[in-house]
Parts: sequence; structure tokens; C-alpha cells
Amino acid sequence: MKSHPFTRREFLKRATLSGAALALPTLVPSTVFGQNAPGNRITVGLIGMGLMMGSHHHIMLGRDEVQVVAVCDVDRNKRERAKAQTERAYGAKRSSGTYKGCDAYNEYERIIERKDIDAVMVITPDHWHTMISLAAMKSGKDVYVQKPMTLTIREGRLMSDTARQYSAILQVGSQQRSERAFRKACEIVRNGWIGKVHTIYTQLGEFPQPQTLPEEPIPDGFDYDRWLGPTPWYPYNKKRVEGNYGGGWRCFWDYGSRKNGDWGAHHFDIIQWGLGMDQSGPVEFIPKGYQGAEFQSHVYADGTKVWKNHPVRNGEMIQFIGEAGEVLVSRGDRLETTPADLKDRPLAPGDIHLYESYDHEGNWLECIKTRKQPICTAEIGHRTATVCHLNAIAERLGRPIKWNPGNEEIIGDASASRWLDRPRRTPYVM
Amino acid sequence: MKSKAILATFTLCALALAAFAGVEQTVNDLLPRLAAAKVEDRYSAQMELQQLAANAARPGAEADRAELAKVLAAKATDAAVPQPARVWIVRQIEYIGAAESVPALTTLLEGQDAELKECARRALEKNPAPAATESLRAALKQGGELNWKVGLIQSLGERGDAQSVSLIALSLAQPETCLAAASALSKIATEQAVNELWAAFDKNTVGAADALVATANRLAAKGEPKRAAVIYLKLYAVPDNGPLRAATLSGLAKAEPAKAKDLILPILSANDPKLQDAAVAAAREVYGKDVSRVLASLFPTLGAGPKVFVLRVLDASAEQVVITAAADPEEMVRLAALERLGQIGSAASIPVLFQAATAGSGSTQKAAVAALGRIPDPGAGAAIAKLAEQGDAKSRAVAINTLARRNDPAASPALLNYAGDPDAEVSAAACAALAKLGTDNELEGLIRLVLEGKTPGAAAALQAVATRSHDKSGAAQKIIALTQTAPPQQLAPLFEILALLGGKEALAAVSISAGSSNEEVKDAAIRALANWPDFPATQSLLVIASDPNVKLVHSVLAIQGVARLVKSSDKEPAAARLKVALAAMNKATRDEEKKLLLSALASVPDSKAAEAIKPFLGVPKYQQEAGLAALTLADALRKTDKSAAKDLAQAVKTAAISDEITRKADAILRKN
Repeated sequence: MKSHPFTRREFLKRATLSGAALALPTLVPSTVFGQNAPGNRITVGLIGMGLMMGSHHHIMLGRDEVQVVAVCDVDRNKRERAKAQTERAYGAKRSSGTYKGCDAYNEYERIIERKDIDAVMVITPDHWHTMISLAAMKSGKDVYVQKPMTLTIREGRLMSDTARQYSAILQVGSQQRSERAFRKACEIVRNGWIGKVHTIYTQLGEFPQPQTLPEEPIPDGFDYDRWLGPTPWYPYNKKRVEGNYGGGWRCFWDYGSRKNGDWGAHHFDIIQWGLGMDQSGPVEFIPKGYQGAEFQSHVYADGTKVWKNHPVRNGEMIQFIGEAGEVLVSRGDRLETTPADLKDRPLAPGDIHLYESYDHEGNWLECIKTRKQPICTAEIGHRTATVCHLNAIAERLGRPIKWNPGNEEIIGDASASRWLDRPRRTPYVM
Repeated sequence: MKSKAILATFTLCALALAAFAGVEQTVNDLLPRLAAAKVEDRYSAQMELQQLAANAARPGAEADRAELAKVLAAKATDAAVPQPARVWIVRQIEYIGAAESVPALTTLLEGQDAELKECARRALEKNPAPAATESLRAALKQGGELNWKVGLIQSLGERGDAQSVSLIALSLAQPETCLAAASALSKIATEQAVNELWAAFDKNTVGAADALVATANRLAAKGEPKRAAVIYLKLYAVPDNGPLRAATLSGLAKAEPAKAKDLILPILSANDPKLQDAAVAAAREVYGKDVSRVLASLFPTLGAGPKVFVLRVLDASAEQVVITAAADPEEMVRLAALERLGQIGSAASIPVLFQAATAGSGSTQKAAVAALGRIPDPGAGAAIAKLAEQGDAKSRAVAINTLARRNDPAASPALLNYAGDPDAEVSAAACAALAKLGTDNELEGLIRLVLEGKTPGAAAALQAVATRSHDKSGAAQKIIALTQTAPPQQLAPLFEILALLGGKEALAAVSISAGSSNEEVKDAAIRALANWPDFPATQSLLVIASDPNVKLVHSVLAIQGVARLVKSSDKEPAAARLKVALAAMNKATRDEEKKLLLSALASVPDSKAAEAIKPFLGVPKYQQEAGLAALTLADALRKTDKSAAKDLAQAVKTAAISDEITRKADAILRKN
């Protein structure tokens, strides 16, 4: 018997039985139960307790409306540490000083099958995002999944369709959308204040080349087969699996799209937003080196061209260049415009107002309660990941790819089309 | 003629053979490196082979692709080729192989090397030749370990192999393989596959229900809505499975649009919020642009929860329904309605929004104010402007605040009128609005209000408008002109604004006033100069500080102004800053200002500044500030004048002001 407090789900169930009024939208407003009453808590399972989960875990533990009830990782040390950290944090809030009520699992399926869990955060390497998220949504859970949302383009379509069909709230962790400067930059572009945008520069950086690595002994307590999951088998080597912002598994094609996926999922996402392409995408992808191209680029149907790793003025992250001005934007609320006053120009009622969020995780939690769509939905995540993956495919093939964002097919290149999905290693089934 | 044809054919064959030999040689050359003993050395060869394969499979080069694929297939099955090389070769076949590769992949599929088997399975899964399906099917027939079967089942599912249905269905009974089997059958989606899935569903087989949903989706997408509807309907009837009902609801509604309303209405009346949300989403998909009309007709019969969901999809055609909902007894409905009016409302929505904004409280009032600020319809703006014109003061103030929230500069002329309104509430709201919206066009009017002295908020509004003026010089000239006739008691705010604007003309005008015989004018001008933004003001400030008859307070303000400008004007030449600072130091009479000037001197990266600070290091009452200033300066000088930096740090150390300061001096000396 778990000692965690009532979940919202249990509360609702009891309320139904007792004939309480239930003509309420999903998670009833806190005004009904009282602010942060136990019954109003969202029970969350955390999956993938590596480097990236650190801040998410911390944020979830700090939120009164959330109860972390389970953690999952294929590394025993990581999951046990996370469990202890969770119980310590909740214990500190109790008069007894102790708390036992967070379970630790090796298999994500144990979290999926628990009916008392409302939502999961999927903060694994990219190759596990889809399989876990789909299972979660089909079991009625809401999902926060790290960016890029998927490993392949076909997975993305499946994720978006599933979220819609199962009425799941799915937030993709492209948290720049919840930063004021990025939203403002996109509003400036979308409202035509810098005229027709024709060129965009963005800095993604580069990872070191992947490596062929010799076999090393698998550490005790590390379920390496599960870590690999649906990806091809390779002998274990620490460098392959380590979470490292400058490399580690992020370097390898088998687990993602390298920088195009890692940082492209942030900056290409903002560019998609700024250009109003959340339901569409570019039509051509040209790799660096092709016919002497100094930089990788992709092109939208109206001719707007995005250059990866082209120098950006003042070292900022993204530079939109229009016929009547420019917008430079970076993290840390950095926004510069030409003309300079654009950055402070307020929106009028007739202007395009973009979705406002100042707290990415908070937006997800709020949407779980209200059943409104979050700021970065599965469809948005899919369209952005598509840009990431197609750039990566063009890079691997060394030739341009033409893309039809309407039917989501590569045009006239059968071999490139095979990259739209990847076969999965047995016995991992999606 | 015949011999020419034979010769041509022979030549072509020879060329082809030579080319083939060339490709094979290239691959052969890579083999040792692909299997290098030092694993790290294999990478470059892998990339070369990958590039070779990608290039061969380029569009319009089928012959190149087939040629390389044949070579790779031969190597893949050649036992003499080391295993790591074969693995990488098969991975390339996965992306370029076609019919020519199938025999080799089939051989590997039947082999003993587990890694090669798995690679071959993946490659066959992707291979476009029908023979690849047969190989996979034969392998599944042959059986093997459960994990291996899972892979084969997945591959056959991906290929949509209708002939494998019976074979795959056998695996529905085993827990290790049932999920793969159900998933594969959903992709095959034949009548037989559907039957097998229903049989599994009846036995509560894991994955069967979701597989049936996927099957129905596939059938619907293929244009078989009736077959899809049968599946959705049966699944929809499953009790106590919210996610499944949500998933089937939209499919069912789309497959049978005529019955959609009958499906959606009961759900909206039931008690499951997630399903209600799904029902509205389903309605949206089924009715498209007509969803608003359909759901608006149901609206009055709904409970609070579903009303909230429905409100989110109502469009302008249902404005009246939303307006009514804005007065709903349930707060959550009211809030949703107010929010929606802010998105779709017209002038007709203004009265209800305005009522909530003026008479409402808490969240309701907040939501109404937000909606009034956002409502995009041009008629709405005009309606709000009208409310600002007339009515009781409180209502007018709310309307004026709303105009400000809407950021519509067209409202500014009217706001200027309201700023001069005798009612304090109206006037204050208008001044606050002008502070946000006012442009250069309102400057003169605001100046007059300031000069009249009857409008308390006018000065702040003028300050805000002047600060963001595009033509600061023009704005300054307008203010200067009015200062000539303004009564002395009204000049202070105008001087303050001139100080914000800066510039030569403004500085000249205020400097002249600083020498006025009218004490009130003089005081206002000196205070403005002390806050001046540009370095040239230091000259006027030094004149004030040098006046033997100046009041102490004015002298102090002038010295403080100089210290501030010396510190902040880092774009000015160091010599000019130094000169001004030293002149001020001569004129300063109080220790406090001398200390301030020491700090200002520290910001001038010049050895002469160091020399100016040094004498103070030995004077006990200045030692602390002088020591800190010297350390700051020494640190800055390290980049341009190491010798001066060292000299200054040494002087600090010698002065032995405190342990902390000496320690910092030592640190700088060590860095040098």
C-alpha cells in the first residue's frame, strides 16, 4: 500500500460515487478543492533520470500541485538516487520528516500500467521518446516529452495523431517557446514589422564526430539492452551511453539527428513559429558541402532560406532578416531589432498574438487541468522534428532533398525515403 | 553492320565489367579498415562506404545502385569477409538494396550469426522487392526464439503482408509476442487480420484493443469507413475504458457523420471530462467549419464542464450564445465565455464585457478587462472609445484603461482631451493611458497641461512620451519655447523632462536658467543639470560649483552630477573626463563629494588618474575609498598600462590600509 496522499483521480472517483457534482472540466479548478488540496494534485511518473531530467525533477518536486509517485531508469543507481531524492524532498515537508511513496522501476511499462498516475515526463534519449509516449497516451496519461519529439518522421505523425485521437495533453520540451524574447521575436516577424523575411541565420554548433568504440564491461545495475531499445545493437562503451551536452549519445546518428536534432529542435522550432509554419514546413534541404555550399540550409516554399551555423550578428542565436528590418534573439531574454523600437512596440488587438507562456512545465500542468492545448503540441513538435530529421538525412546522403510538407513525403528520392522511419530492433515493439 | 553491333555490345559489357570491377575494388579496399583490430579506426571506412552507398542510390542512377548493391550482397555472404565489415555492409544494403540483395539477405537470415541475422531482417523489412516478404515469412514459419519471432512479425507487419496473417495470429496467444502480433495485424488490416484481432480482443489479449483502433484508422484512411465504423462501434461500447472510448469516438463520428450528434450529445451530458473534451474534438473534426453552429444549438442543455469545452470552439456566428454564457451562474463558464469574447466578439459583446469589467470582481473582472483589451473587431474599438466619452467617471476610467490596453495610437487625441477632464479619476486614467500610447503629437498638449498645473498625472505622461520621442530635439524645442512664458513654479517638471531628452539646445536653455536671479527657477535648473544625461553638462556644473556665492546644496548637487557623468561617460576621451574630475575635486568642499570623485577617477583608465588618487592613500579619512578606487583602477590599467597598474597596486600595498585591501593589491601584483 502506497502512503502517498489522495490523487486527483482517486478523489474524482470517490466524488462520483458519492454523487458529487461532476459537471466539471477534467481537473476541476483549484477553487473547488482549495488551492493545492491533495485531491487536486497531478500524479506524475518520471522516465529517464539522466542529466536532462535533473531540472525537471527539481521543478516537479517544488510544485505543490504535483506528486511524483514513480521514477524509472535503466540505470539502477540513477533510479534509486532519484527515488531517495524524491522521498527526501516530500519528507522534508512532513512533520514526521520522512516519506515513503515513490517507486523506482527499470521498465517504463510499470509506470504505464499504473492507473493512479496521471502524467509522465519522458526525458530519455530520443530513440525512446515515441515508444514510451505512445504507450502513455494510450493508457490515458498526459505526456511531457523532451525535444526533439521523435527519432523519425513517421514516428512524429503517429505521435501527433495519437495525441489528437486519445485526447492526450502532450507538451514537447521546446521550452524556448515559453521565453518572452522568442515569442516577441516571432510576433514581430509574424506581424510583418520587418517586412517579408527572406533569410534566417541560426547557430546550432557542431558535435564531435561519432566514433566506433571498443567493447567495455557493462556496469552492474545498468540494463544496456533496454538502453539501446529499438536501435541497432553495438557493444557497450561508456562514451556511447553517457548524457553529455557536448557529446555522449547525442553524437550518434542511431540515437538522434545530432546537432540538427539537439539544438535544431530549439532554434528551427522558433523559426517555424516565426514563419507561421507550425502546421507545415520547408520544401528543400541542402547539406553543407553540396556544390560547395559553405553552410547547411533549408528553404520554404516562398523562398525564405534558413542557414545553419552561418555567423549571426553579435553572436546571437537566431537572426531573422526581412526587407524592412531584422530581429536578433537569444536565450536570457535577449532581443534586438532594427528598427530598434520594434522590440518595445506593443501589439494592437488586430495584430497576431501568439500563445503566451512563461513557464513551460507550468503550462503543461495547467493544460492537464484545463484540457486546453499546450504551447508546444505534438503536431508542432512533429513539424519541427521533421525539419531536424530532413536536414540530418540530407547531411548523411550528401545531397539535397525535396519535401512535400502536405503529404509528408520526400519527392523523387526512393533511397532517401527509406530514412523516413527506421526498423526497430527486436524485441522492442511500437 | 552486324559485327559493329557485336563490337558495341562487347564494348559495353567490357565497360560494365570494368566498372563493376572498379566498384568491387573500392569495396575490397575498405574491408580491412572496416574490420580494423583497433575498433576506433573503423569509423572513417564506415563513413566512406556509407557515402559510396548514398551516392550510388541517388535519383536517376539505378544502374549504379544495382551494381553496388550486388557487390555488397556478395560481400555480405562471403565468410572470408570479417564479421564487423559484413555488419556494416548489410546496414548499407538496408538503405539501397532491392531484388538483387534478397538472396544474400535470406542466406544471412537463415545463418547463425545473431547480429547479421538481425541486420538482414531490418534490411529485408526495408527492401522494396516482394521476394523480401517471402523470405521473412519463410523465416517466421521456421520459428525460433520468441525475441527473433517478434522481429520477424514486426517486419511482416511493416510490409503489410496479408499472407502472413494466420502465421502471425499464432503469436497472439503468447505474452512475449502478442503485442508485436497485434501491432503487425493492425498494419495488415485485412478482413482476416481484423477477425484475428477480435478473437484476441475477446480473450483480453494485451495490445488487441489499440491494434483494432489502429486498424480502423487505417481502414478509414483507405476509404472504407463502414468497416472502420464497425470496429469503432464495438470498441466504443467497452465499459470503463476512457482512453479507448476517446480514441474510438472521433473515428466513429467521422466514419458515420450522420450519427455523430447522437454520439456526442450523451457524452457531453455525462460525467467524464476527458471524454467531453474528446467529444468536442470529434465534433470539430466531423463538422469542420459548421462545428460552431452544431454545438451552439446544444449549448443551453449542457452542464458547466462541457459548456467550457464547447465555448472554446464557438465562432463569431455564435456570439450571442457566448454573450449569454458570460452571465452564467458558474464562474468557470463565465470565465471561458469572457475569454472567448475577447477572441471572437464584435461591438455587440462590448456591453457585457464592460459590465463585467466595471461591476464584476476577482477573476471575472480580470477576464473581462483582458478580453476588452484583446477583442480584435474594429467596431469593438469604436464602441469602447464611445464609452470613454460618456457616462459616470468610474465607467469612463475603465473604458480609458481599456483603450490603453488595446495599444491603439488612434485613441491618443481623445485621451488628451480626457486628461484635462475635471474628474480626477478620468484625468488620471487618461494620463496613464497617454503615458503608454502618447506620441509626439500629444507632446504640446501635455506640456500645456503641465503648465496649467491642474492635472497631477500630466508630468509623468509628458515624461514618458518625451522619453520615447522619435524626435528628441524637436520635443526639446517645443518644451524650451514654453518655458519662456511659463511661471517659475511650473518650470521644475519641464526642466526634468529636458534633462531626460538631453541635447545641446536643452542644455543651453537649462544652463541659462541655472544662472537665473529667480531662486525657484535657479533651483529647478540646477537640479535638472545634476541629472543631465550628456557629458557636456559637466561644464555647466563646474561653473555652478565654482560660483563663490552658490548655496551649499547646489554646489553639492553640481559636484555629484560631475562625478556621475565622469563615471558613466566611458565613450568620452579619458583626458576630458580626468580634467573635469580633477576640476571638481578642487571645488569640492565636503569629504563625501571627494570620496565620490575618487570613485569616479577609478573609472578613468589613465595613469594620470592613478597619480591623482595616490595622494589620498595616505590621508586617513580618504584611505578606504582611495584604496578601493586604486584597486579598481589598477585592475583596469593591467590591460593598457601594466607598469602604471603595478605602481598603483604597490602604492596601495605600501599604504597598508587594511588586510583585505592589501590582499587584493597583492593579487593584482601577482597577476602582473
